[in-house]
Amino acid sequence: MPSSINSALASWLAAGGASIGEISITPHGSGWQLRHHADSSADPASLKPLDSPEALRELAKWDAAGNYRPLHSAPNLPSGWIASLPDLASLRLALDFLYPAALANWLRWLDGTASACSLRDTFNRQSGMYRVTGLIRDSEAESLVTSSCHDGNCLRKVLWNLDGTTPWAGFPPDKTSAPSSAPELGQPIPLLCLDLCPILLGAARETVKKRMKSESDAAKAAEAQASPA
Amino acid sequence: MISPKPSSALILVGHGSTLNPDSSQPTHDHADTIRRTGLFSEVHCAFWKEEPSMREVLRMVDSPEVYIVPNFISEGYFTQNVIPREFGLSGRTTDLGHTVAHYTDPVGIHPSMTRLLLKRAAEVAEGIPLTECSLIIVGHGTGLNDNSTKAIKDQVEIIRAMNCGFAEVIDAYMEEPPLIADWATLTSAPNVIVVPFFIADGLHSFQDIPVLLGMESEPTAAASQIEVFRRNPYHLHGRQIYYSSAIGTEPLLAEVMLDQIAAFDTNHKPAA
Repeated sequence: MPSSINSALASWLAAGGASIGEISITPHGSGWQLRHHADSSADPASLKPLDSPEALRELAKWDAAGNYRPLHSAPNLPSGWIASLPDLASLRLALDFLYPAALANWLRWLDGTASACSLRDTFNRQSGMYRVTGLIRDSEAESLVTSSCHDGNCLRKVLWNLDGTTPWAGFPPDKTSAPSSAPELGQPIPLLCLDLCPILLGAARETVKKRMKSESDAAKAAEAQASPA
Repeated sequence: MISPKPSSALILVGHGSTLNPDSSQPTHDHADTIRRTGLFSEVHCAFWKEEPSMREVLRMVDSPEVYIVPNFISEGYFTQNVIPREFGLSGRTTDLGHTVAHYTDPVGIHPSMTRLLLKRAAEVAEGIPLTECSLIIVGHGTGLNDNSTKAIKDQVEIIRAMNCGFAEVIDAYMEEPPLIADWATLTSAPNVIVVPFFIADGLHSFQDIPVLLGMESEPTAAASQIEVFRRNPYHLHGRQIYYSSAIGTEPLLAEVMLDQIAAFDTNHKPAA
């Protein structure tokens, strides 16, 4: 497979790279073992064994209470399992399932071929039911983003800002920046957000529609008051 | 079957859902099937409402060429507006810089879909003579886009012309006439086979349409969250309804995706 991503992953592992999101990775024979950070000191015999990338994809679909988990970077990946993967290709696939596009976002951001798309640019290109998101006010966007994307909801680093220049006032600096250490240094792989997600897009639509309804209701009430029947 | 493409990646694009856990599953399943064939250097999925997004998945591609196959049931808003916009496509083939993208037709409009529909119909009402069966192919339907019903109307015409023995073959929709809610008056045979022309057993095909048919009084939980998928047949209005799972969950759909790629190579691929 011609893969710059797989070779970068191999370099990162060779340098002792062992952490991404809530997962730790350790060499195991000629392959790899994955487990949740919370299980780092657990007896492997006490953990549920998993043996394929597809099993990890299914695991990552649900939280510990059995609720659907549409956002893979939410800090609620269940613990209590240990996955054995035989080779680099299956490890790459497993990581793509656990944290979709995280490896690619990181590597393309490091080499400068991917950049973040601002909230305004994302909302202004929408059509159909999401076209209305272009009408969101700066203050609404600041409030929505900082209340939706904080680490309690999502572990990604928010690298896009409001309009290409205006940063988010409500985030600490380390939430809106990422370490630029090369794979060969083996540092934890950061989860980068270069394009805002469909969950935030949907929430922005609700924010704008709610405000427009409130404005419309207020206008109707004022009109009724001005011309009583 | 297509020949191996060791320098080509494949991206299957699905709608996905932030609410329904079953929406993206068929797309992942078909990707698994095609990945196991080893025909492509890489196989990825991308979704409008799930991760990875269309913009993200392009960063995952390491190959000089990529086929983008919409796992959608018809031409329409998503295949003609959203997907080209999000991938930055300008036509059938687009040079995106690090890779050249080939954009195929959506899987649901390929002629191979006919054999999947007939297979589903035969399986769901096994042992029932076709002459005593009405076949309904049901879709969403919307007044907003004529294309959303075209794929279904085309399949109905093809199956009628095949004279396979059904008492009748009709199309019906959730939101435009002929309405699936009127199934009892639209059909005449004692057995009614209903095949949802949808990609997944998601909100519409698993939860909404059974209510419109009268099989359920209110929407059930999602398919993956209940123990029994269906208890066919359902006895309603003195007739038997046999309701199948969505056509997009049929494992053979992975072959239709490859057929769609072969059709692209034959009809649209630029000369090397």
